[in-house]
Amino acid sequence: MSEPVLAARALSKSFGPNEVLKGIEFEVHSGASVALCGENGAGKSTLIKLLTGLYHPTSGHVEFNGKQEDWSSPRASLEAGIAVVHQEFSTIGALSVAENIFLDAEPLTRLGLIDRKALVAQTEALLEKLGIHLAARSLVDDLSVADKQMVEIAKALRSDAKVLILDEPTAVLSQNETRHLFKIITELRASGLGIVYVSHRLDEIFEICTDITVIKDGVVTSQGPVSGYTHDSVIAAMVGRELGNLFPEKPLDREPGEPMLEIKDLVVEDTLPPVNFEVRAGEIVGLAGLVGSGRTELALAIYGANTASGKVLIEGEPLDYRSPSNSIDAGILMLTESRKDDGLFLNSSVARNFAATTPGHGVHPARVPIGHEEARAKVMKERFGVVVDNVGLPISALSGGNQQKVLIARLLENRPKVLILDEPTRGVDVGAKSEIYKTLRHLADEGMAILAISSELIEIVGLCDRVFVMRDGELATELTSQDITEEAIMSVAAAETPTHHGVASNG
Amino acid sequence: MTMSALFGKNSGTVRAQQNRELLMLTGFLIVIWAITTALSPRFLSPANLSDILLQAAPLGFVVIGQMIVIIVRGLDLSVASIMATVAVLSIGLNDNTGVIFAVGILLGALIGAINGYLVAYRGVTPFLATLATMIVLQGVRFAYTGGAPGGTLPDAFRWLATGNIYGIPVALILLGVVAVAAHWLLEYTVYGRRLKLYGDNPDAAYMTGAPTRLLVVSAFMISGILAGLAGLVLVGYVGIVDNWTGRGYELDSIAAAVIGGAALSGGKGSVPGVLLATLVLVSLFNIVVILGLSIELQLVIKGSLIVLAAAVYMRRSRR
Repeated sequence: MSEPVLAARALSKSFGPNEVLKGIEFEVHSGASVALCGENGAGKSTLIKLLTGLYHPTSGHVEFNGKQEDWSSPRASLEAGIAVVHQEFSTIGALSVAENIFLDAEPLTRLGLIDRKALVAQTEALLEKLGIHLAARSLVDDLSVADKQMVEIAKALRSDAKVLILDEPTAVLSQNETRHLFKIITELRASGLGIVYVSHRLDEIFEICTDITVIKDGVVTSQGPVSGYTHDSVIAAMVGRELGNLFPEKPLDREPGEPMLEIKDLVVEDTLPPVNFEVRAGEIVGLAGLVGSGRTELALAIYGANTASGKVLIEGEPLDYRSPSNSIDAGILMLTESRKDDGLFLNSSVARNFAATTPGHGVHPARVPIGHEEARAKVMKERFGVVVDNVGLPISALSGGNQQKVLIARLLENRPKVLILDEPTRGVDVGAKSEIYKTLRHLADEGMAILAISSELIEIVGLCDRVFVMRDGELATELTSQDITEEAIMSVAAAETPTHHGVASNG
Repeated sequence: MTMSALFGKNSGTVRAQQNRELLMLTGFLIVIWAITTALSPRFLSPANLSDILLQAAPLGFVVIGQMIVIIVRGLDLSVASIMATVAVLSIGLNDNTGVIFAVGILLGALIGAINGYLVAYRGVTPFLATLATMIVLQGVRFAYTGGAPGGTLPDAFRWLATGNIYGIPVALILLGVVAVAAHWLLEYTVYGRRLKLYGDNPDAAYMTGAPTRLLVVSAFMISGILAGLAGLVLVGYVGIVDNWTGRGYELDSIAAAVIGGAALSGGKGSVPGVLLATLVLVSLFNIVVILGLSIELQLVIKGSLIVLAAAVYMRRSRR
């Protein structure tokens, strides 16, 4: 076998005491396409960042064309010929296709101005070569998501690339668009490019990849040509961590209580089928699925933050006009996915963050007496073990785990009947995770109905009494008690179906 | 406010930081007053101090409203135009003091509601929405007056701006009442808390059940009402109705709000802070006159002060 064009040799990376990657061996050959598989947090993106010079290895090294390389920056690796298309687009909407593709590398006239004629000509030649049908002068804002992705690919390949890394390229594409992308990838591979393909969708991997590398917890667990694998064997290599004693015990033999939250014919997006399910008192129900499967959209629709048609019932009572404010009054409270975006008030104190939903709680509906929030926050601090010297400090001074505890405590102040939690332990350390799990189980035992979204399979398996696996905006399957396993969830979530709707990302 | 809250182990709290800003502002005011007094003892005479306070009163109303708008990430460029329009229209329509004030407040609220509607429901940026309102009002006003405003000022009306109760100017009592009410609203009510939290993070405010659009509309309405009041007080003080009553107050009020600790990025601002800053601005104007310096210098000082304040607050928030 020839020499690999890009390789990782005993590559390790630590962040402080956390070892994220341990002695990774990884190779990409010219004309081959390697699938990089693994759960969220397995270390895939860290590996890509090491390969392209965004991070520097703690030990081991990267080899390019047989030579050891220590990239000074992503720019250096790009110039050497490693092109990356990230999951999030970096296109600029107000510029044309040509201007985006040759951003920062525009052909110049003798006067130092941009040579528009040459710019368009070079773009047309590049698009022609790649088999992409786009007008060089069209505005990127006017393009579909798929076409924007084509612009990203063309931009990555504008100079002579040897390797193309694609990070979840189909997450936002419809099936037809995915087909077109695959055609282009196959052609690029035939022309001698080495391809690294990161995806959760197993069908895609089996269709267009020649090799597979599976990473779990920062180590390569399995590696080889795609012909030696089946869906099941890839999943088996990805999952299967020990649950340990991170999770409180599930009450397996208990009868579920009355239905607290009922969802009837909820249509989140016109192209999607209606969703029906219920969450009963004392239950923790999980929503599993890939990023982009529509979990967050569904949760926001139930909470009333996104518009949707259909019915939401609390204890049998339908909610008339749905908005976050009305949901809170009815007893539904929600923890959002991204603390910094729509959870925290970063410039405000811990006490005010904690009391934000109902600042005058327990005293007056419209007034906030002096020191009221602080006094409540001190009680909360003791009860939830939030580590902070003074509840008057800005919440930005707290660690992620402590911020999350404050946000969960905020929800509980209003004695919710139904709790919706989107990624309740994102960016939280293991100790705080375990405490959050205990709190949630305790709340369920007291009769609360909990709906939890998580991208960490182990969390869904360890915490939930019942699980819905979402795929392309639908509830694809329901799993109960002993059937809730990482394998079962993954095999449904990652399957490809004829109804590939291409839901918007960030799900 | 105890010393330990300022410098002790709790010095990092949000409140301690705000108290330090207030202290700095007070210190700055004392320093410039002391220097001026040293140069010209006439500055500290009761007559001159009373002059400063009376001049500060109309601006004080506007600044409080401006600050509330800035707290919800807005900006109100129409305040000066509201001042003049309210004064011209309400005095032109009637000569009963009570009716004048009632009409003025309603008119201010209405104009503020339009600003708020444009910003909260139509997504117009505050800068553009209030700029447009400012220009439209200018047109309305000139159409109404035909360029020469009229109307007589009733005596009771003039008394509200220039009269005294037990030696305290009525205008200052009025401002005091408004300031206390605004401070109470901002610091001790759920409404005030929601305003500040909205300014800190609008998305998080929405998710915690805040009526976000109404908050923005109400902030602009408060600004409109206070600008209307300020217009009437200023006209009473000057003694004549003018198409350009309050000219320059839009920028002075933004300057005072920023110097007083309101952050244009939203979520921050206090009534004591912006009133102190108003006093600083008005004092500087007075000082320039007292010391016989050129008027142009006043503008240079005002501008420099805004940059200085911005630099100080930026450094603090970055820490």
